[in-house]
Amino acid sequence: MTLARFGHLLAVLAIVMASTAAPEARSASWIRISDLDNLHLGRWSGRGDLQAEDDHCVRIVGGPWRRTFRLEAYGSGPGGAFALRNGRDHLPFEVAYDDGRGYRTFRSPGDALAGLEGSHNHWLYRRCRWGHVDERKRVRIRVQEADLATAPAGRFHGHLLLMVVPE
Amino acid sequence: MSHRVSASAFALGAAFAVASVLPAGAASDGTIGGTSSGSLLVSLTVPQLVRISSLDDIDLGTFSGAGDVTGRDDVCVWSTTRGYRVTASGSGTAGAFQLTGASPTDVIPYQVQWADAAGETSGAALSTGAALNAQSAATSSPTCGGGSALNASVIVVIAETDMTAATASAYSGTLSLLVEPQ
Repeated sequence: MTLARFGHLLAVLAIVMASTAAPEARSASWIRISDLDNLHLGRWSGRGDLQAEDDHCVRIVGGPWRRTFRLEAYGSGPGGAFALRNGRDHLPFEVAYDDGRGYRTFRSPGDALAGLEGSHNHWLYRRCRWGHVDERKRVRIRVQEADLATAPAGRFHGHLLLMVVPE
Repeated sequence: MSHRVSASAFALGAAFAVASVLPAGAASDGTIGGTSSGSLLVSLTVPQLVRISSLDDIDLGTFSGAGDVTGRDDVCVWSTTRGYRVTASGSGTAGAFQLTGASPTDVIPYQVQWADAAGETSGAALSTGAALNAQSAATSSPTCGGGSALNASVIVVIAETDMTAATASAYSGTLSLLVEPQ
């Protein structure tokens, strides 16, 4: 291998390494929410609230050992309202979030929950585990009995969008 | 303040932009970046449900010797379909609408009427075991507001001729009402 070719190979390797390692090494403010699953609250029995939870991962890469993040939530109802829809009928729901220190409830769509604790930032850390400790976050959806009782029969659905921002 | 409003508006716009490109029905993870947005589908089913409540016993009193004897009760019917059908049956033979006296042979037949509004003194005549269709359950409360806004009437009538034919006794019977979503 000539010296020129060896130099070219080093340059290519440097580019590849930079492209794969850049989020971890350069940025102090990169974040990702992942492992989200759909929430099927099931069939209402005619009594009680309906609720379900989803465990997921919020990983902040780069920067300090452990950081906080801000969460904004939006529903697919009018104006981002937390509402499920069946034709022209709407069914409101409540959103709460647990970063491992207990649930906090959104007062209205677009409100931000600040100071949520992110998972440990470590180069070995990938799947929301720190050693044997599960560091997953949890979102809870609840539809109240009083609202379900007013809803006509049918299948209701909607989207919940979660946006996370490093603090 | 105005900065905060515009920032929120941008975030909301970004959120809807992300939501609009999501595959319908699928949870979506966020990408890594300065912010990250994920989306999930929330769904539930409200089945066809119905409930009848606030039923009270009907005391027809003592026959005076003349005239029909009538009694009535306001009840609550709630349905997630907002409509229902009602079927009545009595405690007589084969579900007949009959009151029974001290002796099993002492029976008084009665008629049953139904109205899908409270406070009614007459309604559609019911035959035992036959459904009365297309009734409206105009309430979104399973208890009709705790009983303060009842929405149906059941009326019991004993014809004067049947009363005068009866032997002296205390008569009673059970009327069963079945409601189904419709």
